Amino acid sequence: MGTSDSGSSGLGSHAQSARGKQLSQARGTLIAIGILTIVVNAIFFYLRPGQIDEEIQKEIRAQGPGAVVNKAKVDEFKDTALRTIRIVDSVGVGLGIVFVALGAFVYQAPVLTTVLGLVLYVGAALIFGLMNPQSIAQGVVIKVLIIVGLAKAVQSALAYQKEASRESA
Amino acid sequence: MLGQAFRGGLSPILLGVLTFAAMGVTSLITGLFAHGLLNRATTDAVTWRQQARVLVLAVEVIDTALVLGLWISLAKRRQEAAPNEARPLVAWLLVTPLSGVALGINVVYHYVLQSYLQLPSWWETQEPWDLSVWTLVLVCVQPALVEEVFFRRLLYDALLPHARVTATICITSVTFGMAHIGAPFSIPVLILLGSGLGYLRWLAGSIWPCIFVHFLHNVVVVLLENAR
Repeated sequence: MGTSDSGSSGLGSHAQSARGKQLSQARGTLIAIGILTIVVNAIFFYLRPGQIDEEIQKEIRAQGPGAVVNKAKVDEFKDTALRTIRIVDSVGVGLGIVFVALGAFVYQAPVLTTVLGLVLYVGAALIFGLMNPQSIAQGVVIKVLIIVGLAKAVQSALAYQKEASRESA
Repeated sequence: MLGQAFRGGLSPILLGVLTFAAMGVTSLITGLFAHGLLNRATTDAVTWRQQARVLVLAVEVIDTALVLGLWISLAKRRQEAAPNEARPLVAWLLVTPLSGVALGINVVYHYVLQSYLQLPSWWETQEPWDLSVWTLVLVCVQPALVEEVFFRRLLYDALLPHARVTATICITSVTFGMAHIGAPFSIPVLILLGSGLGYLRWLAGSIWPCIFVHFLHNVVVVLLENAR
């Protein structure tokens, strides 16, 4: 009896240790995604005025040498475009902070943080894909790997929490 | 690798997230298609409205099929949430004031968004939905039924055994907000409305008050859009 008890608890603690490792990987993934998102969006926030100017100049050149440019309308367009894109970049930075926070609290609330992380990542990928269709194909393999990793983390979190509740009961 | 990772099957929560992702991909494809149709110089308002109806109908048929598929696949595994804390009478009494509050928050939020942030007009709906049976079904009935079944029944019941009520409501409301990828600037207010519906679901012990609030909210939004 004693042998089977210690045998089963040994196996149980091995499994729990493996789940703990997967949660640790999930924490690393969420924090890495968060930091990358913050850095990329912060850089774009400062680069946007130059990018918009370049696009406008490209569009004017495409009209041909005799094109008449309405400066007031161009300035209005530039203001609106810059304001909109900067809002999007700020939301991106905010999302990055949320990912870092989710990663930091993964052991305190494993199910909440992993499920939210997965939902936010998938949702953000879809939204940014709709806003900028060229981004859909960019880094598709990495995106799939991240999603699979986060999905595995959800499974581990569920099992980890169940086991932890059983141990504390 | 995928087979090994998910040996033993996907949990109901992951099946729910997978369904959410599938609905999102459907919306993404139709959204890109809709932008393509809209950008064609020859599209007039009447043609655009007819095309929009067809696109929305297609998305909603697919979404309904996905939610039905999830319902069927979870039928044997679904654990009913214990209703012992439910106060259905209180929930039904709160339906009208909650609908009013939800509408008020929605209107004020979008007014502030448009007035102070001055988003470009192409983010707005190109043509308001007209007052017709099509609009009633596509914009009011189907979203109220299917979204409440998915978010406040299937996903909610899948999460509740594994997370506290507040965490469950948090996850379902964020998922609800993020599902509206065609209106990304509305996501914050949709998350807030989703959390209100989540608490109503917890209070009522059933989704019927939530369906009613959702339906009423969408009807009034369509009426307000047409009155503008």
